[in-house]
Order: sequence, then structure tokens, then C-alpha cells
Amino acid sequence: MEYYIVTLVTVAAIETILVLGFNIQFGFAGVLNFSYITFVAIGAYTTAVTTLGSHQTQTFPQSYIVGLSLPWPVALLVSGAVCVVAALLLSFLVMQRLRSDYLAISLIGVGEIIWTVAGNQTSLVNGWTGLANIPRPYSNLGIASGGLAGDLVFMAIGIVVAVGTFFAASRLYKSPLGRVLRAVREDGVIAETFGRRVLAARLTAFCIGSFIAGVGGGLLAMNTGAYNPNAFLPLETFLILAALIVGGTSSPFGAVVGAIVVFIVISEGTRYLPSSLNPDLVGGLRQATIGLLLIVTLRFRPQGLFPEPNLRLYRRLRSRMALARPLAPPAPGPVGVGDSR
Amino acid sequence: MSIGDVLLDVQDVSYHFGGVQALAGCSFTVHEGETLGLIGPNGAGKTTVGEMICGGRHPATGRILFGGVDISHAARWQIARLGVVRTFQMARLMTDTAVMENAMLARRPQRGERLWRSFFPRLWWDQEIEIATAAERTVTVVTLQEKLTQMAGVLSGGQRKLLELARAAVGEPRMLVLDEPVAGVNPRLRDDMVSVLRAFQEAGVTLLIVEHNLSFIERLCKRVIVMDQGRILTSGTLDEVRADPRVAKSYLGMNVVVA
Ligand SMILES: Nc1ncnc2c1ncn2[C@@H]1O[C@H](COP(=O)(O)OP(=O)(O)OP(=O)(O)O)[C@@H](O)[C@H]1O
Ligand SMILES: [Mg+2]
Repeated sequence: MEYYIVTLVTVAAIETILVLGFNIQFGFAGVLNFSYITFVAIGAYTTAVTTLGSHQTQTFPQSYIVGLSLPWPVALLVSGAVCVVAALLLSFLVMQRLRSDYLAISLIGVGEIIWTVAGNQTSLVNGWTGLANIPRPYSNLGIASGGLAGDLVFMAIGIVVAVGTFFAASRLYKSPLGRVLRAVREDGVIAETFGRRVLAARLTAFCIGSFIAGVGGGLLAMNTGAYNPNAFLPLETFLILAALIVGGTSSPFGAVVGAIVVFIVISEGTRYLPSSLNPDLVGGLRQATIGLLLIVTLRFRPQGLFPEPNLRLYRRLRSRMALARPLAPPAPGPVGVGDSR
Repeated sequence: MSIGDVLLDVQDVSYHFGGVQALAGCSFTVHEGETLGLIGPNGAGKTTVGEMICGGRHPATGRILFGGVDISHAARWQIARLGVVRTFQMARLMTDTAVMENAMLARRPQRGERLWRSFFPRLWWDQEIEIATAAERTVTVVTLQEKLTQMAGVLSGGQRKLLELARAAVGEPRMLVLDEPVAGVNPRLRDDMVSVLRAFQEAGVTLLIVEHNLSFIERLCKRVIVMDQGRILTSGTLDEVRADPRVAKSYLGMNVVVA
């Protein structure tokens, strides 16, 4: 039972990180990245090949490139950085001239290409079989007493990264940069009319989200210890999108709640169906439940469980301004308004 | 509010939408600190020329200089960074965010827009308060203070025009291009708008006002230009222009009563 809970919390933390990264792209800046899961995969594979060590030392044969044994925090950062580089390369190819709807479609295409290459070019990351034995930090801790201590430490790592990502996303949302990203999301012409470059802003959000996807992907690979192309089917991106919509698009807290609802409550809840049911049916029921949840959300609460905290942000700002004097005459300002009063 | 050198120089600009010739050799200048009225019948090309000044469209022939710099093919954001702010004929707001956010976006540069700084509020908080104060003040001037922390999408058509003006003020422009600022705004608030624009004038801001309401133009502009069919018909004081028979024929024939 302890193992089960620890596993669930770890998965929840990692999925939270992933949904938060997606939220920065889609919720904050309106960049709909339909190949988000591909960036998660790039992060996962990068972590794998930078922690597995040289492939000659493997107990069973698997072929992959690079083969370093970096300490885990470095590997995670490298994974994030590789994703940023991938995002920059990709934006060079597709983002420059594309409107958001075309961007979404071409990103699906890019995701498919990477998926096919990863699967078929066995020398890269061991093809369809995938990579196994990806080391998990501290997995030897307390192995004599069942290994729970190691699991707990890894869970703590996941939680720390998730909480850090949450606070970073919240700060970004509240910052002037967050305001620019929202302007770009709402109406690029307004953003440009006030001197902001739409492309630069979209690219910023794309890169931050990709970095987070890379780190989250790395944690995912460490957690499961194995990673193969089936882990990044396009459907996974839709689950993340569903989590975000259910939780509340562009609300950092909503992303956390959405991740927990979609990836834990529903995914795990369907496990408690009677075991006499066909296992295919269980999987199908899980997806159907998520689809139903999405429809119910869009029909009855389109803003999600936690709507965008924009108004609250400005209410708080006003109260902090100590300017609760709406009846006082406006003081002469930079443009010296008020000569008629 | 003395009038300085030529700030905006529109030179023989033409532009067409497919087969429609929207601008056909349009030329005029606006001096630093001047308030120029731009009038003309529907479809004369007023919005098109305003859009072009702000980089939304680029002239097919001719060129536009701003402060001596050729901006004919500059992007919107580049022209904005020269200090040109505009309002739209159909008010354009971020409807899913707070009124205050709409106003605060107009100020630039903002320290917290750098990626690494955005994570450290201490580095930009003072400026944020300063901009918020300016936003609150200008929004109050246009009587929308009750709406500050509501979605801009709840505003009525006239209120949206008011917010656009307040937003422009937060932007501290060097030149402001206004496309029909009082269309749909009630007469009492028009007086408020006149006072807002007078404040711009006193601060030395150059104004280009496209407007059909001639009494509004009369209260603000010493000089007006009249546009018709993509070119400038005439210019002068409003009275001079009114006396011009060509203007009466093309435009004022039915509207002169209003003024
Ligand atoms: N997006 C467009 N596509 C095609 N034609 C256009 C477009 N915008 C304007 N036009 C045409 O260009 C001409 C000039 O239009 P413009 O909007 O500049 O007129 P205006 O002087 O602002 O008129 P109004 O006083 O009605 O606002 C008109 O004939 C109009 O039909
Ligand atoms: Mg017009």
C-alpha cells in the first residue's frame, strides 16, 4: 500500500510538471503545441542516454547514442536544454511564418517524424524496444528493507521539482512578461501596436514550455526506468490538453488540479472496476471517462475548475497600491490630465 | 504647445485593395506638437492612411517619414517603439483580461518583460506599481474606474473607445493617431475626451485625429485636412475648409448642418 501511494504521488508530481509546461505554451501564450509529448520524449531519451553510461557496460545489449553517466540533476538540466534547442530548431522551420492553427498541424507532423525515426532507427535509442535499465537516483537506498526509502527520496525529488515549476509558472503569470504573453494570445495586433514582437513572445513561451517538458520527461524516464516510442503517442498530448482544460486553461493552480484529476483519479480509478472485465475494456473506459469529463467541462464550465486568475491578480495589485481612493480627484500625471476639472 | 519641425511626412503614398484604389498619391505633413484633423467622406481612405502610418500596411508607392526616418516598410512594433500609439476605429481590446491589464500593457519598456527578471518581482515591482498608478489614473479620467478589475469584454462599445484612449495615455506617446475617437461616445463624455486630448496637447504630444464629428474637431484642431478618394483635397482651418466648394460638394453637403 505504501508503495502504491508513493508511486501515485510520484506520477502525480511528474504529470503536474508536464501540464504546467504545456500551460505556459498554450494557456499563457496561446501556442498550441500538438507535439508537446515529443518534447517530453526528447527529454526522456536525453536523460536515458546521459545516465545509462557507455553501452558496452550494459548487462544486456541495447544500442543507443552518446552513453554518458552524468549525475541526475545535470542530466535533467541537459534534457531541458536539449529540448530548448529542439524548440528553437523547430521554430526556425515552422514557427516563422505560420499562424497558430497551421503551426498546430505541422507540429503533429514533426511529432510523427520523430516518433517514426526513434522507432525505426534502432541505433539511436534502441528502436521500438526502447531503452531499459535507466537508473533512478537513490534507488539503492534502503534496498535491504524493501527499497521504500529510495522510492520516498525520488518522490521527494519529483515534488520539489513540481513545486518549483509551479512557483516559477505563477511568477511568470504575474509578471509583465506574462502580460505580454497574454497580449499575444489575445490579439497579436494589439501586442505589436504597443511595441511587442509576437514571434519573440511566442518563441519565449515555446522554449520555457519545452524546457519543462524536457525535465519532466527526464523524471518520467528515471521513474519507470524504461522508455520506448509507445510512451509518446500523440494521444498523450491530448491527455495533457484535457488535464489543462479540466483544471482551467492558463491558471497555474488549475494545471496542478487538472493533472491530478486526469492522471490520477481517473486513470487509477478505473483500475477498481471489477476484474472480470476485459482489460481492453478498462483501457477504453478510462479514455471514455476522460473524453466525457472534457465534454462536461466544456459544456458546463468552459473556464475549467480554476479559471484564469487575471482579475484576482489586478484586484490584489490595486490593494497593494494603497490607492483605495476612487473618489479623490486624479492627480496630474505624465500627460497632465485633469485641466477641465 | 508650440509647433515644431515636421514630425510625420506622408509623401505621395498610394495603396490598393485588389482593384480598389484606397490611396492615390496622398501627401501631407504633421508638425511636432501639432493637432491635425483628418476628415473626409466614408471610404475616403482615412483609416487606411492611419493604418499605414502605424505599420499595419505598407505603401505601394511613395513613402512615410517619421522624425526623418523612413518607416514605409517598418513593422508595427518598430513604429510603436518610435513612440507612435494609435486607437482603432473598431475598438480593439484584450477582452478576456482585466481592464487594468489592457491599460498597463501600453507602457514600454517594462523591466519585468525580460525572461530572467520576470521571476524576481523585486526587480520590477516598483515600476509595476508606477504603471498601475498611471493606468488607474487615466482609466479614472475616462470614468471607467468601476471597471478596473473587470474583464474588458464586459465594456460597452462606447466604453471600449474610452478605454482605448486611456490605454494610449498610459503609453506616453510622442504621436497619437486617433481613428474616430468619439464615435459612439455620449455627448457628456465627449467633453471628457476633449479634456484628455487637451492634456495630450499640453504635454506636447502630436495628434492626428480622424473624425466625422466636426464640432469635436473644431475644439481641438487648428488645422484640418480633407481627404477624398484616396488623396488630399485641401487643408486649412476648419472654417477655410468649410468654405471650399469642392469640400462642400464631396463631403459637407449633407453634414454641414451637424457642425
Ligand atoms: N480590408 C479591406 N479590404 C478591401 N477593401 C478595403 C479594406 N479596407 C478598406 N477598403 C477600401 O478602401 C477604401 C478606403 O477605406 P478606409 O477604411 O480607409 O476609409 P475611411 O476613410 O476610413 O472611411 P470611414 O469614414 O467610413 O471609416 C474604401 O473604398 C474601402 O472599401
Ligand atoms: Mg475609417
